[in-house]
Amino acid sequence: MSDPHTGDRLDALLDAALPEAAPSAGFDARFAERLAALQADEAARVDAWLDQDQPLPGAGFDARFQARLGEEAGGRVLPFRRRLVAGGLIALAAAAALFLALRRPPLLDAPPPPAVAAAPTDDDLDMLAHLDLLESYDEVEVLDALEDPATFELIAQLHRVEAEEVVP
Amino acid sequence: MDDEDAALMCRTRDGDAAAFAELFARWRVPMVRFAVRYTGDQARGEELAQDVFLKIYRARHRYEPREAFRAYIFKVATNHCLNAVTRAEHRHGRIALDDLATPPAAPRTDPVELLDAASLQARVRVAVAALPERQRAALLLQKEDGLGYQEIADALETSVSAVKSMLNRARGALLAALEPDRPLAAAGGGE
Repeated sequence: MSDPHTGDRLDALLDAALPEAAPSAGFDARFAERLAALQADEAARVDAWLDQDQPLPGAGFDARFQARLGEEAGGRVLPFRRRLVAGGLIALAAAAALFLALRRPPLLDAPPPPAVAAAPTDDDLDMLAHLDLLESYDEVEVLDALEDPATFELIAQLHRVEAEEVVP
Repeated sequence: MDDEDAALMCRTRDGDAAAFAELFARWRVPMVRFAVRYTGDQARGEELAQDVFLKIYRARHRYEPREAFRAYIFKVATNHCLNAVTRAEHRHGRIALDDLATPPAAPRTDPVELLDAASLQARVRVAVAALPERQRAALLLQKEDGLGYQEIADALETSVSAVKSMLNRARGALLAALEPDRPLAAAGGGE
């Protein structure tokens, strides 16, 4: 292997001896067909595995649901945690409004501030994140848990702020 | 209207309690199955399945049959399970696979067969529960009620191509977990 041209000569020999290395007609179609078969096989195997686990409602499921539905239909009482969150929000909205009112400069001839809702502070976000409120926005929206439009708007705003922070 | 469930939901919206009872009867098994498989926990899954029905009941006044009812109810179920599991993980850290639920009761009487079946079910449940949240949701949505790619994409608020990718990854992860010794054999059309 001391001859530096040995490799080149071997390559040339192989190039001459071997057929042109290109896919034959129908190669792509055959591959696509085999790939589809492989995917179908995998899907079937996973389906078979999943079929091994067929959970059903346990004893008492219907009775428990009827009890919960009865509470629901008989006068909706918000759970304690949700009441706590709603109360905290209302207090937060009131505090934010008071803070803004106190911070306004006492210049009578100054132009009115633009009508933009105050951005929540880091403390507000921390507090709400602690209450899991930001994750529950969709739930609050669906459930109509809050009847005060101003509070609802505040939650929506905080939800947007959090989303913008996560995905800049 | 072709969608009988949507018609029942419309009647529920209009105050027909019997219609909601019928909806519950029709969808209780698919909802429990989805939620239990999703959470890997029978009791937790049942609780979440009940939550889904209560959510739908609470939102009945605003119901409009814009989509198939099954797409609607699985969308609510998916969002609820995703939110609930995410919240639980935030509070308690990622659920350890060893902590996952007891296997469900199987309608068998032979103790050996019962043990094997329960073990198999538990393995499947653990493997499914170990999938990333959205992959798991996509897989179960397709499996549970044969939802199409577009319906799954709507439920997960993503694109059809992302759903296909999630399903491929989920299947690959399940196969790797449940058939670790399976050789990489060609399937179909082999030479």
